[in-house]
Amino acid sequence: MKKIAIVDDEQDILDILGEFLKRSEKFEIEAFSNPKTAIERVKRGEFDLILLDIMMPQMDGIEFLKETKSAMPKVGVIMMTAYSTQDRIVECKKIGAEDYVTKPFISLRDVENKVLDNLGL
Amino acid sequence: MFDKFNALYVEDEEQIKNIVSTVLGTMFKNFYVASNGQEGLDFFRNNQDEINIIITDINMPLMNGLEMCQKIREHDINIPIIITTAHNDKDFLHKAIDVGVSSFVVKPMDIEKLVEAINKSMEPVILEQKLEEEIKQHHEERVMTAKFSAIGQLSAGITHEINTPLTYIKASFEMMEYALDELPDSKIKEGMQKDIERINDGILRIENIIGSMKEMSQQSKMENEDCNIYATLITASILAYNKAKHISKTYINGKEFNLDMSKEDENYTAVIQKQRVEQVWIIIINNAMDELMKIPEFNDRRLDIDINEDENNVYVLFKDNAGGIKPEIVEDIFEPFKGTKESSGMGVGLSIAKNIIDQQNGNIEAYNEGDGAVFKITLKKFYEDNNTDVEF
Repeated sequence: MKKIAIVDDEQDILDILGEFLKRSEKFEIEAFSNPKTAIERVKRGEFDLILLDIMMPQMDGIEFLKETKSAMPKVGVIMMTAYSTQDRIVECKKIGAEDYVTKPFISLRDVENKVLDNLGL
Repeated sequence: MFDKFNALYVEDEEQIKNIVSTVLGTMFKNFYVASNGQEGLDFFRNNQDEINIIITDINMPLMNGLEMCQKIREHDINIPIIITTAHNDKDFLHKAIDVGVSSFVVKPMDIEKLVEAINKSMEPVILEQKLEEEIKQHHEERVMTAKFSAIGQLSAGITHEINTPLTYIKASFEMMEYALDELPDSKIKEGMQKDIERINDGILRIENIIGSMKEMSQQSKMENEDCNIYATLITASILAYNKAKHISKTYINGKEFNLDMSKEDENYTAVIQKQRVEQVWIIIINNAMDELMKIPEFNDRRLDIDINEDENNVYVLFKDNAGGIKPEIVEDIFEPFKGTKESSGMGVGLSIAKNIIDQQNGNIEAYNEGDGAVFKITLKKFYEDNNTDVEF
């Protein structure tokens, strides 16, 4: 089963996104409210896909993305951003992010579809 | 000619007084007349701040012109004073210079010479007023810019704080909707589904408002960029909605505006500084709403925003049906304090709007059409080589 990490400093968002994505039983979900813990596990190659918040106090999502892509270029990353400005999205794309979703999500189903697409399911 | 200024004319001879008043009366905003030096002096003392120039005869009963000048100079050393006199001997002219007369016209009077003297004497007064206006405008612009930037910073913080709970509120209701679908049909289920529909509608509106506030508060976007003008109008309409919804319906390219409208429905691309142009739209919409309030019935009020384009330009037309701009101010409505809104402290709104549009290499014009005013803005579709000044 594919493994997905959700990284967001907001516990409520982790909870609801995790709960929803678990329903299909197509992937294993692990939620991280601290990106520093998450990045260590990602670098060990434990995940196939990351849902990653951009604005986090402990570590910037863009920095997280850079470290992920230099250590594990094949791991897919979907950015979650409240600031849907073109430049930020373009910056993430340049670094190698596969996709992005805006907060609030269009719908949880939309997030799920992007996850499925990126995992080739 | 001097339509912002007031003159005081002092003359005792009826006939001359009437002729001069008729000719000069239309040149000034107000043309006050007194019949002798004492009357002139009294009038001046009571209305000193209002009078910008004095024209006076010399030989008059009760108090002559020179005596009056002398007394006026005790209060005001700057106001231009023109004397009309039959004397032109040296001694008299020396006396006139001593009391501080600015200019003189010899009687019998040549009106053209008098007008010439007025023109010359008024030059420093006009210059001073222009300078004052300029200083005032710059001050107001700085205050406005500072206000916008403060609001921007504040709303950037607030929108981020609201966005997070909004994200999980929205997602939670989506989960609830799915859970509800699993339940057997019942009256209660049906009621809850309707509730969720309403809640989702409310969430969508909040999202739109937060989204627009966020866009406005992004500070970095000061450079010119390709922008969908339709989207900027939706953003501005959302931000103006709180006030506008109580006043009038707004139609964008014929469609009635509401908070759920998509910014991508239509596309007209021009090269602009997005936020600053949005600021212009808000100024114009707010102005239109203030004018529309004068119509008693909500259903009789209407603001149309129409966008169209040709090969090189995008055109945005704001048309209301509030009766139009007063003919006396339509010519220079973009000058500060020309509008009718001094009372609401927005006398510089349209001048700021023009300033911003000029800096986009665009054009803004105002005219009356049918039963209302039209503001027409032209924006360029392509980049131009001349460098654009970003600063005020």
